[in-house]
Amino acid sequence: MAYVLALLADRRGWCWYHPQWWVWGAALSAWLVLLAADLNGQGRLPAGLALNLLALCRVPQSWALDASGLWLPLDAWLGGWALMLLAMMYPLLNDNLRALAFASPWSRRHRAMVGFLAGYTMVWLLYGLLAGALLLLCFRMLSGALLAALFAPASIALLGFGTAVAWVYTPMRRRALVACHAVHAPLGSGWQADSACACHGLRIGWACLRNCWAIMTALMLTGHGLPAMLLAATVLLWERKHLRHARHGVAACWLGLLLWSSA
Amino acid sequence: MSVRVRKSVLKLADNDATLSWYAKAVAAMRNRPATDSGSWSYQAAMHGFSAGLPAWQGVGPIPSANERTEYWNQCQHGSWFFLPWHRMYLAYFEQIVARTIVGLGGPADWSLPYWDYSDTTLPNARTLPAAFTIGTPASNPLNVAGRQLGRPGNTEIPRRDVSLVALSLTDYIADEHGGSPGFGGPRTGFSHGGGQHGGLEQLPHDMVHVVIGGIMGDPRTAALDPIFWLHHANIDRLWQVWLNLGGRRNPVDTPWLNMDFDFHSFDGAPAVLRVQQVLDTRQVLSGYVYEDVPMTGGVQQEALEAAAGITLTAGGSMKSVAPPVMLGMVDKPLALGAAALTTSLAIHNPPAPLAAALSASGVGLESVGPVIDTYLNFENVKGDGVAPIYDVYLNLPAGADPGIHEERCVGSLPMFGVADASIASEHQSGSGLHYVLCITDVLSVLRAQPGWQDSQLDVTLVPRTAMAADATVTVGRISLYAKAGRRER
Repeated sequence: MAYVLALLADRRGWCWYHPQWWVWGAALSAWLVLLAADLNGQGRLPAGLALNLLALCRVPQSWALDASGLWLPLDAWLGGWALMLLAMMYPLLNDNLRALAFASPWSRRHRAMVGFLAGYTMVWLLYGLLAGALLLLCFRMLSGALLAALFAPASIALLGFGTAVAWVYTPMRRRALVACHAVHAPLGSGWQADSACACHGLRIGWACLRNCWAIMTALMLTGHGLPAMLLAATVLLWERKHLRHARHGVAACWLGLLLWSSA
Repeated sequence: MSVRVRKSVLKLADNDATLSWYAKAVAAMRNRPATDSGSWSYQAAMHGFSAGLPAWQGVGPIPSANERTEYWNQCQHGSWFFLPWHRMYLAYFEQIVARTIVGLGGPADWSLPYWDYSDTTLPNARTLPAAFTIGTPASNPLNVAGRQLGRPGNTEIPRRDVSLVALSLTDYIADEHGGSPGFGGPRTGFSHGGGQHGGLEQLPHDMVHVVIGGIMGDPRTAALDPIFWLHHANIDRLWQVWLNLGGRRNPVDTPWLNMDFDFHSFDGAPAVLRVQQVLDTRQVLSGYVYEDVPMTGGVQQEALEAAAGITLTAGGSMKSVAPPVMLGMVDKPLALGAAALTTSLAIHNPPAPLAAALSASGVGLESVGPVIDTYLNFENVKGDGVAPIYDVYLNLPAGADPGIHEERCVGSLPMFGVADASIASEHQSGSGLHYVLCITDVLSVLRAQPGWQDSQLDVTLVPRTAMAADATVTVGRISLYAKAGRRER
């Protein structure tokens, strides 16, 4: 009994030092859902959540081959996009969330993180909406043959991952990577503090979008699978953690994804 | 080649040629173009560079943008890499200077001296060594224009600005936000500036930089001043002194040990050093040691305390029973100016988890003093221009002269690098600086005095010098944190 109590006390202590634990839990859940969807998908999209997810992941092929895919409902699009964010982007926020939690009064730690995530997610969801709208427009305006040529796996991989490789070498991206580490000590209490946390989330979200938009868009466009997502998430996490301008290493990974997608 | 011995500049014999050869090498390196990695400009720019600053005007052709990204503006501040990066930086610089000296016909065993300004046993330890002030910048390569130290009324560094209290910090790594800054600074990735400075970085490192002033007062120009390298040799020496005190150890975390940094060797070839390669100074490049500092536990704590005029905490780490928790904050930003500013901070009761943790660890709340460390945080400190140092006092009586209430002074905000840290760039996020002052001892004194209130703390910031007309400083938030723990051997 004493052992169990000690274990529980330790766990409580661990949670005190890692108040962002539930965000990792949410990200892990998202990976499991993606894995389940991938296992069920088998190339042809099943109904329900898996449909949304894999439609998201395989936009060009499915939309080009199946006209019904052009009319994916908005909530499905955003749902799939949000799940991808949850799995790939939320782990990158580990240090931001932990710093914000400790910079907040004890009773507000989790509320501060929720406010931050709300602001952060809003930026990426808006980008997802915009990207979705542009794709829809593209599909509605272009003929089927042209679509098939434009969104052929090789050409879309070259466009998507090629852009991601080039983006790695721009000073804008270096600035964005550093800006992802901005820290902010929220002032006040109640809604004043909530809005400060949400605004901080918006700023970090904007920096993160400028940093990662190219690779995320490439993954979205190229009909990637879970291994590609996992590789990209790992590289981004490593780079974010070390904040080393390891441009060549990151570019090599994106180049590898390009070759893999084109194969 | 034998291991170099870095000597105290204050103890060099009259006929010692170390500084005269250093001056000749500085002059020779200044004659090299900034595109040459062995030039004075290139070496300084590796620490910090900003083309718009007057000190960098006339630098001439500079390397390509790619090369600048890789090698310039690389100094690590506000980070647990502060100490190892500067150790690597000094080692390559020393190698380049030594080769230059050999090329000029000098000795092969030249080594970089250090400036131990904290040594209270030596007269004039806190004044700039004479070799750096004689003559004019035109006639003496070691003399540079614009230093504040050495001017009338500012002839020596105030004693409290060279305090070695950081040696009392037994943990290398900073606590979570709000707690101890640690001896070596917070866990970060590559960190060119901004953020929370570690204990040694804050004092004496930052304070010596800004008290000397001029180009030394800004990380983007500091390494252009020849005294910079002796100052940092001393900081590097203090790292070994800290280890020798016992009960202290370097991080063993893989991200720290495996971090690589880029440099150039004396022949211009790109070189990479990893943190784990520089933990023993005898293994750094050709190796070096500090005169009077053995490589293992040989420093007598009593002798060090006597020489530096401090009392050090016994070895052993502080075992936390709960993370740092906020007890209160000033919930509006403060614009600092040329006059002293006082603000009040409402103190709340320790949150339930802290009280529970104390209870669980067998420590009653009535003995909060001995087991809780209290920290005053100055967060998101941003500014522009040359900001003055601000001294921080607690519960200073209204209208009182701060100078006669030294017992209420809890430290200073050096503002080293505040302008650079306030601008978002490729190298930093623009979040400003974050200072942490441990106020436990002063609080325990204040608690015993009449008029003490548990619910309020007055914080007064007093500028030490006049503020430049174009300077601005804003403190984003002042907050009070407490951390419960018990000391373990």
